[in-house]
Order: sequence, then C-alpha cells, then structure tokens
Amino acid sequence: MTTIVEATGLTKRYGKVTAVDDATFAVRAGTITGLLGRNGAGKTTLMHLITGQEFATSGSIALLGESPVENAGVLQHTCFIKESQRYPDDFKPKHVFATAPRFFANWDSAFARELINEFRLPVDRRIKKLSRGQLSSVGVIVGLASRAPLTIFDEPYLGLDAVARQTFYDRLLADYAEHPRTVILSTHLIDEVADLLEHAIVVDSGRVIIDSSVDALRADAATIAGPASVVDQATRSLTVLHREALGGFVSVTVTNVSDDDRRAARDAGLEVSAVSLQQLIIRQTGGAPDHHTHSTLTEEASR
Amino acid sequence: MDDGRPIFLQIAEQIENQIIDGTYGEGGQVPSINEFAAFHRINPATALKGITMLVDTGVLYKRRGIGMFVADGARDRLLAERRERFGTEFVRPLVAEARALGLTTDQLTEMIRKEAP
Amino acid sequence: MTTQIPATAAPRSAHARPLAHRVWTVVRLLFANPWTAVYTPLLILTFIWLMNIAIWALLQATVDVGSDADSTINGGALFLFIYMLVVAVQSVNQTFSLALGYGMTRRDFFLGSAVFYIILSVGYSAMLATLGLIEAATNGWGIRLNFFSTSVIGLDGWWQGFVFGLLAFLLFCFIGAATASVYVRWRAMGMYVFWASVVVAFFAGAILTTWANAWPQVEQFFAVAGVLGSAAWSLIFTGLCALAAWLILRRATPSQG
Repeated sequence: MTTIVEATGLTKRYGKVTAVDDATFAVRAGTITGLLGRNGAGKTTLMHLITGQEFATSGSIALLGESPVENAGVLQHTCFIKESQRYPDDFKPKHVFATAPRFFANWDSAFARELINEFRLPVDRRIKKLSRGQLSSVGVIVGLASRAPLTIFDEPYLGLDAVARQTFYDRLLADYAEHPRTVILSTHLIDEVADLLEHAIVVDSGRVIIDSSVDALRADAATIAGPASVVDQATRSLTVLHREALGGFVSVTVTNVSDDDRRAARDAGLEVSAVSLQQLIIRQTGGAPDHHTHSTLTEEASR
Repeated sequence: MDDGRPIFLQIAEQIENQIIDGTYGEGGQVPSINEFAAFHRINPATALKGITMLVDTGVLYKRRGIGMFVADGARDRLLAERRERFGTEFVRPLVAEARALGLTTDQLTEMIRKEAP
Repeated sequence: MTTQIPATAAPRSAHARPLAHRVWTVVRLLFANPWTAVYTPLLILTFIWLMNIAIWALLQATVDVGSDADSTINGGALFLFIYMLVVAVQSVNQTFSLALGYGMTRRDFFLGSAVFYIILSVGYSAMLATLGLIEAATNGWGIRLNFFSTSVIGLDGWWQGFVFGLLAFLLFCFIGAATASVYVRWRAMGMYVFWASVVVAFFAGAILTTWANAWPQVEQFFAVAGVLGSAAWSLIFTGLCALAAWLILRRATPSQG
C-alpha cells in the first residue's frame, strides 16, 4: 500500500508555542484516517502543514512523495475543508459550487446537487446570512463532491445537527466505497466516527501519541471488572490506563491485552468488555493514568 | 455494533448465522462489500476483512465482476464447526454459572429437560 | 488489503495542470460574483452620471449660465479608482484562504489576482475613454456636460485617455493588493506597523523636501512629465507594489479560515 502523506520529525513552532512537536506518521492511500485529539492539540496545524499552507519549522512532510509547499502538482489532488472557512463577503453558496469544478478535476455536479438537496442548503442566500450548520454544509458538500484523491476535513460539522452529521457520514462512506480515495478526518466526536475509520492518528499537545489501525487499537484494549483482588491479579502484567473502584468492585481499563489474557480473565469470573475508541483516546490524552476511588470502604475491602 | 470483538469478526459471524438459518442459500449471492458497509455504517475496509475471512475459510467464494457467493457445503461445515465450539462457548459458562449458584448437575439437567423436552 | 488502489486514491503527481489554467481558475473565482467588481460600480457610475445630467440640464434651463458654457469638470467617475482599490484589498483578504484550501499555490493566487486587476483596469479605462469620446462627439450629451472628458487634464484622444486610466487603475489595484497582503501575512500588528511606517515616510519625505527646498524641483518634474508622463512614472511604483505583494504573500499563511 502506498503512503500518501508522510511526516518525519515534523515540528512547527510559533514563537514559544510548539504546535506540532516532532511528529512522525504516515497516512496510507485509500484509507479513511482519523486525526483525533483534544481541542488545541495541533490537528489543524498538522493539516495546514500537510497541505503546504503552513511552513514547517523543522522536519519534513511529503504529500504524494513531494513537498507540498507551493507544489501545484500535488496540491491539485487535495481538497482541504477547513473548520471555520471564511468565504468572500459577496459570496453565495451557488458561487462556491459554480467555481469549485475548476479546482477539482473529479468534481461531480450531479452528486453536489443531490447533497445540496439533502442538506437543504439555500444556494441563493448570502453566505454571511447562513446559519452555522448551513455554512458547514457548504464545506461538507464541496469536500464530498470534489472526489479529490486526498480530501481533508477539519472538524467539518460545527453546527450540523445529528441528522445532518449522520447524512455526512453515510454519504462519505457510500461515496468512498464507490470512489475510493484517501480521507483524513479530524474530530473530537470520536465515537460517532469510530466505525468509519480504518486508521487513527492521535495527537496530544502537538505530539503524535498513537498511529495505528483502529482494529489493532480495539483489539489491544479491554475493560476488566470484578472483585479488586481478582482483577489486580489478572491485570498485573498489563498496562493500566484507568482504574475505578467502588467498594470492593474494581474496573480497570488496560492495554497490551492479548486474547489469552481475555480468556484467562473470563475464566476467573471477571467481566471483560470492549473499550470504545473514544474512551481509549480520552484515557490516553487525559494525562497520567488515574485511579479513582469512590468510597472509603475500598481500603478495607481490598486488604 | 460494538460487543467487544473486532467488527469484522462480528460481520463474518452475522453472515455465518444467516447461512445457517438459510437466509443465504448455498450457491446464492450475498450482498456486496459496499452494501454491507453502508448497511452497518462501517468502513468498507472492515467489511472487506470480514468477507475475506469467510473466503479464506471456504464459506464464501468470489466470482469476478459478479459478486460473493455461498460455497457448496458451507452450511454443513459451519454447523459442524459450531457444534464443536458449542461445548466451550455455551456449555462451559453454563456449568460455571450453575456452580456459582450452587446447582447440582442433576438440577441442571432437570432444568435443561424442562426447556428442551 | 488485497484490493488494488484505483487511480483516484493514489494519483501520480507528475503533471500539474498548466499554469494558465490554474491562473484562470483563480480569475474565475475572483469574478464569481460579478456584482462586486463590475455591476455595482457600473450602476453607481450610471446613477452619478444621470444625476449630473439632471442637475446640469436643470441649471441650464433655470439659471442663466450662458448657453455656451461647459460644465466644470467634476470628478464623478473618479470614485471608480478608490472602488477598485477596495475591490483589490477585499479580493486578497477574503479569497486567499479559500484559494489555498482548494489546492492553489500562492503563486497561482498572485498571478490570478494580477490578471484580475489587469482585466478590470483594461475594461474600465477602455470604457471611460470610449464614453469620453462619445461625450465629446455629442457635445457633452447635448447639454455641454463634462463628465468623462479628460481634455482638462491635458489628455487628447481615446488612446491617451485609455492609457492614463489603465495606469491609474493598475496603480490603485496594486496598492490595494500590497496593503491587503500586509494584513494577510502579519494581521493586525502588521497593519499598525504598516500604517505607522506610511505616515512616518510621508512626513519624513515632506519634511526633507521642504528642508532641501526641493518643492520647485518636484513641481518641475511633474510639469515636464505631463499628465501622461507622470502616469508612466507611476508604473514604477505600481511595479514595486506588485513585487511587494508577491514577496509578502509568498510566505503568508491563511490563519483560521
């Protein structure tokens, strides 16, 4: 599989602030990759670096094997839908859709029209007068109808209600299935998109802390619950991300779990369940593993 | 979709169930990967993984340009496989639970007979 | 994954679409809403012109200004230069981020903007020169109104009017572009520094010229060059503005949207 984006030691500093810190990762062609992390983690800066709109302080970024900065040859295959894209004051959505085809070789006007209807976008209204959700749908429609080989969405659903978001996911999936391309999707609504993603890159304070397939992430983690002593025994060789206790009952989120570990835990009578992608990432980006105790009885019971 | 196991496994299992209960007959066509993906709202790559697994185990086969079909004898093979796993997957937990509740084997057998006369 | 990645997923980067195509795409983007740069100013111009006709005709009919007198030159059409400056400023400010997001390079954007300004400048100056000619031919629209006439500033004929207008429009457009590029690159802080520098430079220049008693020489320069000559010299300044805009935009980054 070819990589469409490759970063090595990528760093971006704004004065004293390090927005992206020594990031090394690869995005495989033809995948839907999630760029996940908290607000201000550096996702937007990363996307600007990938598309040559920001200049790296150090390190390298390759888009289709070349530097993206001022590189029309590779940039023509990208479509970057920004989170709060501002359009010219005099624009109406129809102006956007009229000029978009010239930017994107694969633009599908019929598809765009379908989407405009589905999102109920008033194309003849000044963009300044659109609601936040309608404004977002302009970007979403451009991103989808562009069929650009690399389409990047930066939190594209600000203001979109749940129905519109579901429409976006469904349309994205269906169109991606019919016309495969690489999609990078940044979001903090992780659970909503978890099933769409093939790969996840998690960013925290500018550093890439996870770069893995979503399947591997899920397979690697589990929540094990039961009596404290039994749980602690079963998880002694595993990495504990999070521990919650209530009375003598303990629930731990662990990684580096193998199927054998799971079987052993179940055999010991413990409850083994999955960790949602969102939970997993929250735990990984929330700081040091934390231990919650909900009761003073815990100390007694665990002795 | 999330019951703890990888989604592609769940997809594969669902298809197997539907072969066993006859929804997909032998030699019949199953929906395309894109249709599965759209229906379950998952990434097509995940659906592909599940289907590929079933192709590898000989449950499905691919006819180029047409689609995926149920292999001959797939149902029988699946039944045999599941019967083998029935002991570990269902009976063992049943017995463990019964023990935890303090039921004797006779009491357990009695309850089973009530359910399956 | 065992499936082949089709062309849409992993394209060859080798051949960019021709520069001309990309530049024209930016031009089309800038002209997307033709009201801004074309229809609205033309409407305003028409309105001002009609007002002038009405007032002058009224004056001629009611007040005895002498049936042979021409109206004094009014700068009714001059607003167009300022208008185009604003158009240039807004086009750079508001379209830079969008163009880059859709895959254009900064070079494509700059060249597209330049072509946009040239088209507008050529169009408007040709139009104004032609209207001046018609005005002269119809004896001031039949009422001796001097609205488009350029003879008062010493220009004669269509070509001189056209060239003067063209150079003036280009000057205003590129001044606007350069100013806007300062904002795009350095935002509010850049604007403060820029305007402060402009004011300082202006006053410094004036003080120096006064101190060196050089005002007569300045006057002499413009007198010798004439209107057309001065406009030609302004081309240097226009070129400098264009260069400045390019150098500034080259390293500019679109912030949030």
